[in-house]
Amino acid sequence: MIKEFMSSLWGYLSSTTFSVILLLITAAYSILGTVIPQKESPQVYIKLYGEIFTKFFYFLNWTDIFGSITFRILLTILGLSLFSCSTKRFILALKGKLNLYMWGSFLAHLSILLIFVGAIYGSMFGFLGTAAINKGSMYFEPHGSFFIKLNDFNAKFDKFGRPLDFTSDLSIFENNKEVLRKTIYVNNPLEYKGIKLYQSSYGLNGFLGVTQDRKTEIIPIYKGSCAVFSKTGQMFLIEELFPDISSIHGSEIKTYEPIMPIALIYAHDERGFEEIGWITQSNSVKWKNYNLKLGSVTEYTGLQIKKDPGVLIVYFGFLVLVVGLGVMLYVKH
Amino acid sequence: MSNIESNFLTYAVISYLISMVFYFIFAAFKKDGIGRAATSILVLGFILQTVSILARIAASGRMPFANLYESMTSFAWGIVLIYLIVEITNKTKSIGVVVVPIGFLAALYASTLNKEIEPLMPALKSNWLLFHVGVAVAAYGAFAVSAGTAALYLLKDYLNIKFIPSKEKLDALTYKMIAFALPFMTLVIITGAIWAEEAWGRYWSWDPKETWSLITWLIYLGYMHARLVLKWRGRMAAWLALIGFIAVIFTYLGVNLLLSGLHSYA
Repeated sequence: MIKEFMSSLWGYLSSTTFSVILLLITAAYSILGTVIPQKESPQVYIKLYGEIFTKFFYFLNWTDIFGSITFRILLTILGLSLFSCSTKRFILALKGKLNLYMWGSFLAHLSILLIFVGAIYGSMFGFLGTAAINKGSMYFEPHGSFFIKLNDFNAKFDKFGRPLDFTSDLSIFENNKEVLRKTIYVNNPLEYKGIKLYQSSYGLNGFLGVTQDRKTEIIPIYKGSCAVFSKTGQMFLIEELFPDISSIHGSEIKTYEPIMPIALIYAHDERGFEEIGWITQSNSVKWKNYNLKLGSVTEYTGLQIKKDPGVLIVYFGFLVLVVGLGVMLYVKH
Repeated sequence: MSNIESNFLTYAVISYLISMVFYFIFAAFKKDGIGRAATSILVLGFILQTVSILARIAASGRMPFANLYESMTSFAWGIVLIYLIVEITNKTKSIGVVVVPIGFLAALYASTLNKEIEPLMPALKSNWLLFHVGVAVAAYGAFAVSAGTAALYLLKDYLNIKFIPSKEKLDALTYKMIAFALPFMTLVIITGAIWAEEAWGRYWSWDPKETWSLITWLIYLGYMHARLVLKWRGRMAAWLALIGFIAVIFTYLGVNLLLSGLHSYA
C-alpha cells in the first residue's frame, strides 16, 4: 500500500507534465510578488487595497510572498521533481547508450539542485546585516569578533546632486591591531575572515540641542528621525539634514563634508507636525518656549555586512547550468 | 549627443519604416524585386544605425548600455541583426512582415528618448555591464524573432493566409530561435546575479527585475519541456512562445515603467 503510494508519487514527481505545470505555477505566483508591494507596513496595504484585502493578504502571506511557507513548499516540490526527473532519466540513460545530449540535460537539471543546495547552505551558515559607522568611529562585528573603523568618507556628485561615487576608507582592527585597510565602493567590497563588507549607503548623523527653561538636552538625530525632549515629551522631526548650507540654494554640491550643516525642523503639536524652520550651528530657531540649535554633524557610511559560504556552490551551479544548456542546445546531435 | 548619432538614428528609423512597407507589399504581391528592395533597405537602415551607435560609443567612451535610450537602440539593432541572419540563412522573407515592425518600433521609441550622455552611476561602474547587456541583446533579439514566427504560425493556423510559410517550418524556426536564446537568457540572469553579489552583497533579492527575468526564463523552460519531452507542436507551443515574449517585454520595459526596484536605469 505504502509502496504503491510512493511509486505513484514518484511517477507524478518525475513526470514532465507535472514539472511544466509546476514551472508555470511558480512563474504565476512570482508575478504576484512583483505586483503587490512586498514587506511594507500594514498602513501601506490598507491605503492601497483597503482593510478587507489587507487582512486577506496577511492571511495568505502575500505581503512577503518569497519568504512565505507556500513559496518554500512550491520550491521544495520543484526541487523534488527535478531530483526525481533527473535520476529517472539518468537511470534510463545508463541502461542505453549515454549520448552527449543526455549528459547536457542531466547537468542542466543537476545544476538547479546545486543552486538550491548552495542557497540553503548559505542561509543556514551565513548571515546578513547592516551597520552605520560614523567617520572616525569603530563598529564591533560580533560574528568575526573584529572592529571596523571608518577612517574617511568621500562622495562626488553630478550637477543634479546625484551621487557619482561614494567611497569609505575602512580599517579592520583585531586585538587592538590594524590588520587590514581598504577603500571600498559600490562594486568593490572588502573581505576579511570570509566576511564581506559592501558599500551600500551613506548619510549624516548629528545632534540637536534643545533648550527650555535653561534646561538643555543634546539629542542624537539623522534625516527622518524624531528627536524627543525627554523632560516634556515634546517631539521634533528632522525633515532634512544637509552637509552644507549651499545645498538648499540648489547650487552644485561637490563634497559631502559637513562644513556648514543645516537642518529643517518640524515640531509636533495638537494639529500634527508644523514646519518651524531651518537651523544651523550658528543660527538657532525659537518655537514656543523652546530654543533649537544644531550640534555637531558627521558623515556615516552604510555598510552591508555578510557571510555566505553557499555562494561558491551557487556559482558552481551556474557554471554547470551554462555547460549543460550549451551541450544540450548548441552541440549538434 | 552628437549630430551624427541622432541624425543617423533618424535615418535608420525612416529606413526601417520604408523597409517595413516594402515587406508588406511583398507579402501582398509576392514580387521578387519588391522583396529584394525590402531587404536592401533594411540592411541600409542597419548600417545607418550601426554608425549612430558607433558615434555614441566614440562620444561616451563606453558601450551604449547604461540607460534606457542606449539599451533600447542596442536592442533594436540586435533584433534587426538577428532577423537579417535568419532571413538570409533560411531564405524566407515573410517573417520580416512581423519582425521588422518590432525592430522599427524599438528604434523609433529609442529615437524619442533622452539622449544626453550621463556619467555612470556607482552601481553601473563594473565590467559586468558589458557582458550582462551584451548577452541580453542576443537573447532578446532572438526572442523577438521567435515571437514573430510564432505569431505567423498562429495567423496561418487561424486564417490560413497564403504568403505565410508552412506551419511545420514556422514551428521548427520558433523552436530554433528559442533554443538559441535560452542559454543567453540564462547568462543574463547569471551575470546579473554575480554582479548584484559584487555590488550589493546579494546574488538574489527578489527585486522585481530579477523576479521578472526568472518568470521569463521559467516560461521558456516550460516551452522547451513541452516541446522536447511532451512533443507539443503547433498552436499551444506557439501561444507559449508569444507569452514568453510578452514576459520579455515586461521584464525589460514594464518593470521599469510600472514597478519600482533597484534596477532603475533600464
